[in-house]
Amino acid sequence: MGTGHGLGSGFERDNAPARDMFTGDGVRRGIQAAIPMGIGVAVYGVVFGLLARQVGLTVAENLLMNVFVFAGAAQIASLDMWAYPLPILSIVATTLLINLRLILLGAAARPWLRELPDRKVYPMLHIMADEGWAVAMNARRRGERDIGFFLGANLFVALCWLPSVVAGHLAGGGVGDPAAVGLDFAFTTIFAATLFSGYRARFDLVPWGAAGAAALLAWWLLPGTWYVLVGGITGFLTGFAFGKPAFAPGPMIDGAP
Amino acid sequence: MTIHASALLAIALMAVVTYACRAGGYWLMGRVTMSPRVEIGLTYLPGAVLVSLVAPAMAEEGIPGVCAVAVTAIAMRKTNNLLIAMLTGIGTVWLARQII
Repeated sequence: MGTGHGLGSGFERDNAPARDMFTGDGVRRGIQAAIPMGIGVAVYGVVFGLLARQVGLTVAENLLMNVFVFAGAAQIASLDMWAYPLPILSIVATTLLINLRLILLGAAARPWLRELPDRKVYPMLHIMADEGWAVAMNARRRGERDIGFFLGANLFVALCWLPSVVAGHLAGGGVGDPAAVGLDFAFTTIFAATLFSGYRARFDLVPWGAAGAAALLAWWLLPGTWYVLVGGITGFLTGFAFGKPAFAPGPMIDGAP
Repeated sequence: MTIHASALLAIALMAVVTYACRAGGYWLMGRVTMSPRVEIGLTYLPGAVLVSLVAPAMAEEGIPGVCAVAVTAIAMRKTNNLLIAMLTGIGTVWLARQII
């Protein structure tokens, strides 16, 4: 379990947490960094709200789902099956399959978040979603160490999602088709931009390339969204086998890529 | 403010499995002793997940998708600004769809 190994903080003997472990300033930086992602999320929140209304979710049900499930991709898949009597088993199984990738997100976040006590981490994990997580983990690659950043980025994404879902639901048919202006591709471009901004060394291309190849193969051969899991695990294993321990804290060399 | 009983059940179960995934990976990594190699591997996981989200979406979109991702890469390199890179990419996919 989390045996305190804040890098180079081995001599701190008082019970007070390290100053830079979790700060309000970190939360603020996380929020700021998540703004572009938040805009994309908000657009999709509106679309989700609209879809949910079309399949017959009530506002209250929609709100409950988004507060307690809070997993856009799985929720959209569930809407496909949302007809009474609800095929609950299929809905839940699909949700589980699509959300298996969240296991990877939590695993990758552990080396960062374990400095905080479990009673703070576990509630925080509920709002961990791909978008905020990507922003935060990317910042960590660039030297960010403040756990407040992780919270800020994920919280901001959640706060962009919820009101826009409700707005989309209430607006009903008044929302245009996001595909008409290319907005359906928003997540791909922002995920790509986040990926590129996290580029640090030529070696990064090895696990990334392996992950991409595996994901494409899985996308081609397997149903559903297994490709995220397959690609993620492939990248992890490649990094595990060949990665370089050059992950020093502090600011990275600026100007990369 | 109506809530159907079966909808409530479905939402509750969806919430349980989803939170289990969110917390499960974190919990699991706490159960194993994390070797330095595992930690190094984990630092590559975010990029790997992002690649795995981008690559199939790009392939599905075809040529406009490839153009958009390439332009996003260039925009990110030039501006180092996520918002600008995202908007440029969206603009590219829109434009490429009109042409192709």
